[in-house]
Amino acid sequence: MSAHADDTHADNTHADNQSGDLISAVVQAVRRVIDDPVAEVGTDSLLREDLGFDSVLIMQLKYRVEQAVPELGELSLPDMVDSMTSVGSLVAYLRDRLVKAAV
Amino acid sequence: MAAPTAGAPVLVSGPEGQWDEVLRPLAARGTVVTYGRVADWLPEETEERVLRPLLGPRDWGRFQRLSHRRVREGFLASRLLLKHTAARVLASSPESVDLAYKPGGRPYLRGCDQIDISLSHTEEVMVVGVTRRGLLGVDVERAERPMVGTGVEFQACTPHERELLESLPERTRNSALVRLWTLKEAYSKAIGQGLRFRFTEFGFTLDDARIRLQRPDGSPGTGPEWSFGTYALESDYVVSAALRDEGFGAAADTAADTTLDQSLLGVLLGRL
Repeated sequence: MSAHADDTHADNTHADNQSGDLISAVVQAVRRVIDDPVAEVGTDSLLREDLGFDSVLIMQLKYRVEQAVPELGELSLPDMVDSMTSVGSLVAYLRDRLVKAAV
Repeated sequence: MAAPTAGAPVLVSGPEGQWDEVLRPLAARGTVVTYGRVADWLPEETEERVLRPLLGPRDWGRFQRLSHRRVREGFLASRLLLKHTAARVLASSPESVDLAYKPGGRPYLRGCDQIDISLSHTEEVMVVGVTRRGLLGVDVERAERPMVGTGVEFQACTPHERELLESLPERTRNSALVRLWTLKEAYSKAIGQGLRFRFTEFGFTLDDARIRLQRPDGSPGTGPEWSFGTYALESDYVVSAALRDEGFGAAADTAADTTLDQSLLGVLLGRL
């Protein structure tokens, strides 16, 4: 295996870990906002339909995510609200923000 | 002269409720806000043959996708209150009221451009607003819902509002924030933007005599055509209403871009 291939593998593993960390951070933030530490929350979970989020909880979730993942910086609710349909769609939005911030 | 306010919400305890009390303020002011308890409005029969004609195909589909019990109940009960209220206003039947949604989610009555509607619900209480005067937004929250310390004050308040909150005794701070929140929600719903509005870019005074919208620097944010009101419901809930008075009859153009001060709208939507 070439050194280049090893680097690629290492990068992918790092990216997978980062993605898992982000999902975990969002899931924890969701549980904290709905005040249910053992709630069943996955990337398929719909914030409003499955978890009962309303506008206040959406705003609180933005705040908790900013606190949990400081490298995201200050988020814009008007920009992100359309992505706040499911945990997975929110994670995808945040991952995109992190990638752009790293460039 | 100050624009007329939406008026205090009128309790409707079910489909066979006190509709004369609803039609009277509507006839007098052109606007009425109704409220009901979710438990009073949940139908006994929830089969598709009963609910689908009442909700219409779009909301029936949305209702079926709701897995959270409280959300399901609030969704169903609030649509029934809205449809029954609109049916009384239009002298029609709830099944014939065509509730539709604009991009962004603002509800409207298809085929009834002269009527504007708004709805809001919590776990137990829902509120419906109907006006012939122009634009209307309503919002309801539990008066004791915890907001202080949850990040809401940083996410939703102007610096001036945060100073106002900090100057209040601790025991009244949360209820003041709940009231500010409902005003912001009501206004953003009236404009049809919801959370797409930058809540930190507009604030409210809390003078009971006349609530005013302000820019962050304290200057007026809207003209005299807007009126805002907050009301206590049975001491447990707070309702706010934002009404833009276009006078009697339909507004010629109620798109947000043409009904707001253009520079303020740009800031609120992040265009500037």
